[in-house]
Amino acid sequence: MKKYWHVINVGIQNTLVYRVNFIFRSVFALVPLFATLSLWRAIYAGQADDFAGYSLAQMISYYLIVTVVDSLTAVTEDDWQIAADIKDGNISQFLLKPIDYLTYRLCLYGAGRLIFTACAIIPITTFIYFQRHYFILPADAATLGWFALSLAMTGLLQFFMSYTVALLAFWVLEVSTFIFILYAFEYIASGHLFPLDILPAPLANALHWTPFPYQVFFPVNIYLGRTTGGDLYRGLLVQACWVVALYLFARFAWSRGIRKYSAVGG
Amino acid sequence: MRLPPHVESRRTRESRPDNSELAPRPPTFIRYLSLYSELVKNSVVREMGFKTNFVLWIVVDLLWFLLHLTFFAVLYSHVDRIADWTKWQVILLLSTSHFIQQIFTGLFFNNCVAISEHIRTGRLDFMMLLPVNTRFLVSLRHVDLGAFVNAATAVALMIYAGRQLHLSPTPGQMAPSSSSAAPGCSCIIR
Repeated sequence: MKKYWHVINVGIQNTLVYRVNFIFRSVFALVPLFATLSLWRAIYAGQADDFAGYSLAQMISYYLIVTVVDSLTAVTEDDWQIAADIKDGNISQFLLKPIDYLTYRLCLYGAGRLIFTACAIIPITTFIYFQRHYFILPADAATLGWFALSLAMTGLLQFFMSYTVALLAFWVLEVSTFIFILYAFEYIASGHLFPLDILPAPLANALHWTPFPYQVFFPVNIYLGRTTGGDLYRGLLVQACWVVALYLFARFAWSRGIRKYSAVGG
Repeated sequence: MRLPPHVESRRTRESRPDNSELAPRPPTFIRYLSLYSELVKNSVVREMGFKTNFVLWIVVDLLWFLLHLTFFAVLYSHVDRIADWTKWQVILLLSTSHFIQQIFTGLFFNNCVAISEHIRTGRLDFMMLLPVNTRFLVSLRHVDLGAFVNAATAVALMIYAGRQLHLSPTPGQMAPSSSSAAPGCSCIIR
């Protein structure tokens, strides 16, 4: 296990190179967020009661927590790097070394998220401070604990999904379009753009059969106290099942891909 | 050291004060128009090298456009107006902004992104040596054809939304609005 601590260490040092980039990225991500919040304020100004069961404070908190979940778990560069490693033949060295590529990548992903969060914490906290009248704190410590557990699984889910799509590079030359198509689905079906329960009920229920809601919507709802009791335990179980399923699929895709691998330029 | 004969002859020819034997240069505008048509042809050839990729990029952009439309469709399934804006007014706004953005992408975007790369790799030096305005070449070299397909879908939606709003703009109204899109694009690169 010691070698993977070294990987995390290397990952931290590599990502620290981009710390200013990370700060800029997190600051400018707040601009569209501000626009979205303004849009929601305009919607609530035009009506007396709640919007699909959300009060204004809940809605604004929803987007703020999405931002927090995103900075903690979103896959940014990893999928591009994995695809480039395969395309340029860089993974040949991992086939020769006693190191597991998936674990290696997971360590780098974790290190990257750690540094990104450390850089983003100041702008995001400042932003939340200015929205503090609308910011809801979790009901109790248990809620926060379930949220943290779900968040960890969200991270794994995001990573395994991006990892598997990046492995398409074994079969096709250019994977960026596939990455963007997956990202589009993640963006809308995970609840990034709006909370999924404002959708018509049949559609929202159908989405819960896919892994996407467990990438953002589910942990945020735990935080807001909208998922409790039986729904909470059932949801966590389904989320865990998706993590295991995607992990197995990632392993399967790797073992198939490696047979196809031609080590071009490696 | 003696230079090879063909270099020698070109040197003497260029240093001669009157180069009457060379074909007269076409007027600047015509010359740049023909240059641009070559650049477009080049871009077509490049895109057709990876046809599936070309189609997939169009799908990606279309998907993102649909995604934003879906967001507003969902919002307007709950409310009639957002601060005086009706559903079709917002769709007209979204499709117009998508149209302008796609035209910008088609003509300039990839070139703007590539500038820093040209500087870093030293390719800019090579471009500055070419007997053509460097800014012209740097800004317009790569034409993204897929963006024009997406711009066309945006126009179709603009027209549809306009019909839903019972708008009937006169040519006099349409000309200024469409021509204002062009400087809008070029402002970004200046």
